[in-house]
Amino acid sequence: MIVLQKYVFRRLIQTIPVLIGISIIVFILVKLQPGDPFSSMMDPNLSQEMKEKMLEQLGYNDPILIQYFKWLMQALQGNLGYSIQFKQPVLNVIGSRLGNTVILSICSMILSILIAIPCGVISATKQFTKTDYIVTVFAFIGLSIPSFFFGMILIKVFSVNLGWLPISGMVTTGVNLTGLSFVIDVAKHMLLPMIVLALMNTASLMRYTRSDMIEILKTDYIRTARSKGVRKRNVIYQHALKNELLTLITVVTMQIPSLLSGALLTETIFVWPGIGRLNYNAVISRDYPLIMGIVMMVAIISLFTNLLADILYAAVDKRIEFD
Amino acid sequence: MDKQILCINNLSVSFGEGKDKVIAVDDVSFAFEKGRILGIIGESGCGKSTLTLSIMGLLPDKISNIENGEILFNGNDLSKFTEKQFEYIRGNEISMIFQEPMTSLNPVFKIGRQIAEPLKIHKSLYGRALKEKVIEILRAVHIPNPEKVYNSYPHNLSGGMRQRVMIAMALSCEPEILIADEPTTALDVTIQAQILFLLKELNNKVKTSILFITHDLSVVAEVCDEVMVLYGGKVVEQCNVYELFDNAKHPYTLGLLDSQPHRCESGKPLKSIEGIVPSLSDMPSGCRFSNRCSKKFCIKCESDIPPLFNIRDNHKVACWLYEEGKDFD
Amino acid sequence: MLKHVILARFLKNKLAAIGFCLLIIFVLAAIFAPFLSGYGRDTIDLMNIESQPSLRHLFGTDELGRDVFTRLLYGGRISLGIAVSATVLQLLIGVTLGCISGFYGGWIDNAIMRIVDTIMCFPFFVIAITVAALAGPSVWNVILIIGLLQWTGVARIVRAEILSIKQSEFIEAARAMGLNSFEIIINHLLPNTLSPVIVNATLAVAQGILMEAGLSFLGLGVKQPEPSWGNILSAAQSMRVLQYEWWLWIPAGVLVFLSVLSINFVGDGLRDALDPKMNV
Repeated sequence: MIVLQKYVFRRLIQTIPVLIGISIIVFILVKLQPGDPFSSMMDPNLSQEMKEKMLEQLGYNDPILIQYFKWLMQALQGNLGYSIQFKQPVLNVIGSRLGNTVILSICSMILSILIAIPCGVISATKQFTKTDYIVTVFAFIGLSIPSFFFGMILIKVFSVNLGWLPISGMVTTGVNLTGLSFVIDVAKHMLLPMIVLALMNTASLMRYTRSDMIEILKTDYIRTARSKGVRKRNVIYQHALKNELLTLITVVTMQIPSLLSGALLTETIFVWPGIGRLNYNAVISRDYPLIMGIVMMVAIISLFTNLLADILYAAVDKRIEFD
Repeated sequence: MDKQILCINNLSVSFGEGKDKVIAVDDVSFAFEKGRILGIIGESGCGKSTLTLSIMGLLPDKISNIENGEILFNGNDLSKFTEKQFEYIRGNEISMIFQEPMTSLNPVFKIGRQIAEPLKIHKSLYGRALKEKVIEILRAVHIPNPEKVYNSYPHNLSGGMRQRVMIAMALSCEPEILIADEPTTALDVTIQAQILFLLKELNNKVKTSILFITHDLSVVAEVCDEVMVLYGGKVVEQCNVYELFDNAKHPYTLGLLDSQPHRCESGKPLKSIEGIVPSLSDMPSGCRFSNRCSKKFCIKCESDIPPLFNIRDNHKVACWLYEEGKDFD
Repeated sequence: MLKHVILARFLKNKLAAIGFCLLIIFVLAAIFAPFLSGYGRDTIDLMNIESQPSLRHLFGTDELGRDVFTRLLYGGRISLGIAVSATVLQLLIGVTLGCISGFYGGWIDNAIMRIVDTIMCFPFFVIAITVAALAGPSVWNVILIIGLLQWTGVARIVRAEILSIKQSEFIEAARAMGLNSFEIIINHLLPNTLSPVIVNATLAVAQGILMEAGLSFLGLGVKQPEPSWGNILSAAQSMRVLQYEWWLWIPAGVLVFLSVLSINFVGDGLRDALDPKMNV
């Protein structure tokens, strides 16, 4: 276990330059935006003199390096600027929408796992048969359809033509539902975006599971299990699958950043009030502070997700490796 | 005759199909008596692993095929068994241990669970009775601190310990036959000695018959009662262990014996058998060993495959030199 | 000899073979676009605005009366062209940096890998739309955005290959023969990295098509009047088009889908054919 702690420590140290790198890149983007980034760092309701004082504090007249540090200080304190659209601190705006994206992402991830793992396992155990072929082709299709196109087709079929599901949004407007009916309403709205968001991840998870299982089924310890008289079903679903699931944890964790990216397109089409749609709207209305704030936030989330995935991988691997 | 526990008649196993087909086990026959340790010797690629895997039904069924022959065990022909029938036998009446202890245990299950598994499946043991039996077995294979090992994972154990665990697992249901496929090849010499001792002890106490595969003649001398020499998928010599070392007849066997380092006079170069084992798809016609044999003496060697001739009681050789009645040597 | 084996293995893979044929069709259609349609790319037919597919206009006309089929052909040029150019850019940057990183090791390796880590923290669309907002949408910007963000994958692959080869002794032998670092890299190390790089490059083109489509769909990629499959698809953001005028968006989506699918089949087939561990 001590080796693991050392590894975790080393990885944490490695994240520091990356964090700095992220901050530098975001800062460069901030400086590149047209107009003056400093005024948007301040509460628009302040008086003119206060604003001028703040400008000085924020580094308006300073050389670029000092500007960077002052900006960084502000960021670390949670001041990512004020959204031009909403006239509120960026962090607040993001915070109010982040939850919606998280719900959508989690449900989407669960859906992915529920479909991909069984399909991948079955595909691996029936390698080279028709079933395997069909699953593989489906996986390829899932990887190849542009998510927004898939989304629009679903909308056309299920919302417009069949009218089964709402077209967009998170809740039905004009009605004030509570309790169970609220949950059902949200669920109805979430179904299509969830499927669309899950598409690509399901496909790649399916393929990964399949190829990993095939490798596991060739190992010596699976041969040993068979030689003990373990039923074939148990060989696959107990002996092989447990090994598979451990490595899948890392893979699934690594898919989180792509969920954030995919959420952008999905939320935009389905008008789901999460940070993806927020991001798009911010770009359209050139709300630079908000844009930069979201970029920063997403980058940091990705960083820590990757870190988590690496640590999980090392923790799992410790069992497989012999010292 | 009624002491025979396993009887293999004219078994042939092939891999691949069409023009890629190779025969890995060619018309092999032997009988195996209860309580004995039969050694199968041969170099890599001679078919020994294929032979044992086919007894257990563990050959990859898409690319391999039992062409011919029968594997008679307890009145049944294993070559015709379905997977379900095999699941009953494996770990229960016939067990197997493999060459690589480092990779043969499931890394994510505790040792206790892995040893308990065949007992649960075949003997329906549960709970405390199950755990006690497992600890007892761990003691029987001389694993120190069995309680601790019960709760350990494979990566906590050394190679020698893991092989003991494999043996424990294989013998847990007291099978009639244990197939040991080069169990000591991957181990240190000192550990090797311990494992061999353990196997002999178990054979003595529990009367488990052992099919011991190896390429190492010193191991054969140590452990086996009877020996079968394989070359190119065919049996070339079969006899008891004393006959093998005192009175071997087949040129290949003699070559193996001669190439042991301790047989060599000091100062002289080590002897070896000229040439290399041909690949299965490239076997010479006639006697498989003919292109490397120093005692080749007639055209029949290169045109006809010699059958097994009886030299004396239970000593058979597949060589034209010993054609029935004649002894050209 | 080896090339024949690889080719044989590739063709045996039915999916890869189909994908390859489809791909050839797409590429040829894109190259010979002007000859395949009687209409000009921007030719407006005011008599036939948003008309359904007919014999005159195979895929109907759009809101400005332009022939959709023609727009799709030229759009294919742009979409495929962007994807390929972006991939070339990725390869140039990624292979170079991966080589340097793997070969020299030490602090250079560390620095480059930290840069890779940093870039990989920015999910593509999030940063892409930001840059598009700052720099304005255009074909070149799309190529640059994709190329500059996606080189990290191939850099890591090249670096990993080089690290594993570096251990082997033939590098020492090469040095002993007096080759300098540059020659060693070009003549000995790079050829060994070829297989995974080829596979990666193929799949990168597929990714590129999807990325361009997404960006253009959002209005942040290729700008009108230049057509791209992505910006043709953005017509479907109108409910009316979505419901009633399928020819304005579905063909474009299907083309993106089929081209990405065929490239994925080909890339996968290449990966299997080039994998030395596969038993034939």
